[in-house]
Amino acid sequence: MKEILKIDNLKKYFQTAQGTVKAVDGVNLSLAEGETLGLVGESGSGKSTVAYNVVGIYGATSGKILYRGKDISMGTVKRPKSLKKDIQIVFQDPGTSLNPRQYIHQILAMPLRVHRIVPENKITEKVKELLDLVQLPASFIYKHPLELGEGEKQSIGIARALAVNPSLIVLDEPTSALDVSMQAKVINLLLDLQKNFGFSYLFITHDLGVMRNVANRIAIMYLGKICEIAPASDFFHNPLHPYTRMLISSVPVVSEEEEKLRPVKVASRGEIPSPVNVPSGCGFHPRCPDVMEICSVEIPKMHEAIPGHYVFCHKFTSPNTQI
Amino acid sequence: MNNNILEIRNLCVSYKTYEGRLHVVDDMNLEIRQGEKVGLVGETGCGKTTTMRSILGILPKPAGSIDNGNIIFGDKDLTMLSAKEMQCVRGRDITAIFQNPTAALNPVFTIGQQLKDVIKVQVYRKTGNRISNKAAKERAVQVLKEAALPDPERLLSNYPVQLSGGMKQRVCIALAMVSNAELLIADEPGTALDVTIQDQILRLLMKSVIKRNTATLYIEHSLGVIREWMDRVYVMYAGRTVEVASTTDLFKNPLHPYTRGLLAAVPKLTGGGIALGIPGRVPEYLNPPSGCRFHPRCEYKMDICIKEKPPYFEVGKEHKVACYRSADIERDS
Repeated sequence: MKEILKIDNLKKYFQTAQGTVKAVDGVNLSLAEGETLGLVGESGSGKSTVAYNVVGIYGATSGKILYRGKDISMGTVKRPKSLKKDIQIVFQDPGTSLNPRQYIHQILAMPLRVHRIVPENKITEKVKELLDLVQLPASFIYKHPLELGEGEKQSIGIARALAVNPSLIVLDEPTSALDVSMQAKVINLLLDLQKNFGFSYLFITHDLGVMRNVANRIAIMYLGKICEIAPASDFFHNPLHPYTRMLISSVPVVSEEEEKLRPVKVASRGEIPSPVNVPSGCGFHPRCPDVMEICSVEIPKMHEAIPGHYVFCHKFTSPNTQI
Repeated sequence: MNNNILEIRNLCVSYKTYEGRLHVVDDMNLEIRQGEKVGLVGETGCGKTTTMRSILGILPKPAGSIDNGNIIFGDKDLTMLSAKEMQCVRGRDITAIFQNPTAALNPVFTIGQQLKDVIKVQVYRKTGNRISNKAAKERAVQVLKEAALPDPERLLSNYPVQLSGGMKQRVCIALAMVSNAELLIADEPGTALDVTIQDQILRLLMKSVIKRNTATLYIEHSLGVIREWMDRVYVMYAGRTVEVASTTDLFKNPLHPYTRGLLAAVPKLTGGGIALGIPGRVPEYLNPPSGCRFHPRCEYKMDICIKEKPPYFEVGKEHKVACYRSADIERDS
């Protein structure tokens, strides 16, 4: 399949009074046309920073982001308008990402005007069309975001991203502010849209249950690094990285079939360290149940343990261990 | 024999607004027995937090008011107590842990100051004796240690902003455990945290609850958490408990259409897509639907559901459902 997005050794550092925060520290990812790549991690792992780099809210410190072969790592200021149009984002909290003083009409018309998608006299028509796409009634155009429910607000956020006919949509925890019932609706809407229009999704979430049902491939992030990438089904049936096992065994589940999937209970311990003082060697070693001597000394290498299943852990590269 | 520690009977709570009265809690019934862990689950806007606030007597005044019903705690009716009497019940007999630890701790006082204040007040209310600063500090270190916080002595001089979310929630748990209360109300204590941290927090909380034999009312919207830790579950919809069962029963044999819809909407780790979710949303409380408040969203609706509020049908041991169609649903499944 053709690659739409390739992230090559991306680094994003922030200078703060406490020191350099290595929010993203050497991330490699690729996303195929029409694929959904799930990016999972705890808060502070740098997953949103990756998303913001792709959209161009930040420029990268070093490394490359290639969108259909063009380098877009420079941030939006220098990014050509046509590329801005192609990559859109849906934010986490629909309550704060929609202007409360504007009508839905104004919110959705803005991207149409900026990118001159339709002539001025067709804008209302196009806005109604967009509302229809996200299964909302056309009567919503003269409502304020405050009058809508959380799920409807997020649908407006999705409609705004769709307005400019993008190819790649970055979804930054689109359902974490919603109830399960609303979440189910929004996710089904996103999946329908993908089927009809062939969008590629970079789907960021901390909910592994959601991830299992939407993503083709899943990447786990910890302290600015990717620790495991695998196809979704493989990922849950055979998690390799100790952090992934800890994550999956921490998820509260609702049925016995799911319980069987969970690895033997790995008691979660410790917290994600501050990215200012990253532990030496593998960043996960202070919390790792299988820690070895080498872990605190040497940074592990990405290793293809099973075809298509990559893991960033010494356990799988040192010669005397087996999977 | 009545060993209920808390009993809510036909509770009705409403909020006064410019547009009229919002009847948020309507005919709510709930029981908690000695040392039992009870979950209360429902979507946002179902009245879970209003119920909690009614029990603790911290409804926003003057907008919120209890219109009807009783909250029996031990031998007292909490709805009848004055604000001053309630103040003694809160903390001493009933404690709470809130959803957002950042908002629950005062940002301008150190952890030590906040803990010591609580300890001093609690000891005074319980025994009538005032204790010294030093004794309070010792006790503070001890409860922080119990909450598995590293280096408690140093932590006492820290401000809440210096701690991570998980640590703040541990401090809140420590605060709630100070008084050895009989009832603990926890309002989604893990929601604001990551799953691995949530797992740690819940294990800590349940350990201390079991150790003290504290009865717990655990308010949560995540069904997974409920399934893992609770003895009994109440499902709440639009201000009323619609189904109650032991945890194993509820997850094996859910009978109210709302419970079934909620369970189906949870994304499963086994994959296989996500059900469409329940159509519509939680009703407006200004003019709530007549009869069963769930009927506009229900696929099993009959005429009677629109006219009359369903009574509780006993469908099994400790399993009650407020639905006219529960027998049909049971047969279908």
